[in-house]
Amino acid sequence: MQKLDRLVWAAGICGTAYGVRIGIRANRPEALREIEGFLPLGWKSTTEPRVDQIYSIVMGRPIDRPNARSFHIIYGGVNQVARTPDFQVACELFASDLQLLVAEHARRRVFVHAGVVGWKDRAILIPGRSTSGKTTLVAELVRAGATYFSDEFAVLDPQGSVHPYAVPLAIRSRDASARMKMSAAELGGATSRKPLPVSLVVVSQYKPGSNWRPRACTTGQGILALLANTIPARRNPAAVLKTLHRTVQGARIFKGTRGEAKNLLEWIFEGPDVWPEVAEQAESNYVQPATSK
Amino acid sequence: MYSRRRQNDLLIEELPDETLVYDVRRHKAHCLNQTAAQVWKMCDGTTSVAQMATHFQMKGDALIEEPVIWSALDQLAKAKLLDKIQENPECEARLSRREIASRFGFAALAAVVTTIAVPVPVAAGTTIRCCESKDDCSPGKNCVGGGHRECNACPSGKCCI
Repeated sequence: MQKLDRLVWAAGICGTAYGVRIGIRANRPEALREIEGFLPLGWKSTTEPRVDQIYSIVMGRPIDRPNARSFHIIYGGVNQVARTPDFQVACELFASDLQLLVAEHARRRVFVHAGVVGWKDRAILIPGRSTSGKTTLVAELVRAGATYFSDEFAVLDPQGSVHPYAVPLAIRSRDASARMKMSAAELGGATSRKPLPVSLVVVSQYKPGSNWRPRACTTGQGILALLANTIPARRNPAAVLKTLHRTVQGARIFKGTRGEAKNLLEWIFEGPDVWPEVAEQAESNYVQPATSK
Repeated sequence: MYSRRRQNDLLIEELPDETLVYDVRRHKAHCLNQTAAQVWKMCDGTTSVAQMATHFQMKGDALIEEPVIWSALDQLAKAKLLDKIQENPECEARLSRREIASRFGFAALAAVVTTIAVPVPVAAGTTIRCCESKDDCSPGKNCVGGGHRECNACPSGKCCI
């Protein structure tokens, strides 16, 4: 870190996101202008010089010589986050590292890798890592009328409610080689602005051709499924366990392998397993036919 | 010497019918169903398996006999939740969960310990690929180390980013 500190830094900014204090310095001012579009959700600029982490951006200089490349290097603390001739790629790696840092160290929030939508004033959580299919399922749910919370993180408060983290959905191309960003509005849906309690947790893995035959899970199994995707689990397991317990209390938890996302929509939106009040209402609406004489 | 549960470096979260145990030393989390949790709590170093079985019978859980308790102890030991485990006499057969369900007809009574390893945080969208050199990485990625957080799970300490 001392070596980095000895370099000449032309510009710097400070800010916070979810209580994590970040400093960003660069050897050229234009680097900070470029990086602004990659700052995390919840970023608030501050003048407070004390920070939890410093990012150092060393922007390479243009080189006229053929076959010579100039590298852009970004450090998070003393760790190299990016080293690439493409500054756009460097910014994306920076954004990814910073997002993870915030997710791991956020104060009063627990970040879980999960897709989240709102339905009937309750939240539906879809925990899972990259390629588990959660973004595709979230996108289908939003297209069908659910409100968008996130396709990236479930942000849980100590009372167990989930807050919106509405970054654009990162929808993969058919061959999974590329991802494009789409907002909920572009999908024809709306983004939530308020936290909701969780009523349903869907632990699913996409497998082409599979039929959705979920099995109900216990509360403990549900907590394990979330814990396996919880960013700060190792750093603060005591607080994480309590938060996850409160989150799934009262929620129904199901696990299974699914095929196409569209096949789940009816089960999620109307299924009596998921919404017992739907089954009760259906029973109370049933009128006993009159017997003929 | 009878079975004794581990107490150090464990976080416990009680649920209505289960017990969650987080092993801070190994970063593993275990979910004990009711039977496994009751057996674990009775592992105080002074209670034998026979005494545990008697305890269950007095509580009205007559179907939780010694083979079920031995199965629980096996799973708890495998999960490193016991400091000491009572030696199993050769004449006592240890039954698997399926055998217990078949014999007693109550699969739910079998002790179940479910374990997960809590992963190191990695950036969303990242598939960690460990490497020794840049040649191990796909085009556009570098083999980085130097304590990079995402590479913590790699034996070499380096991964493709």
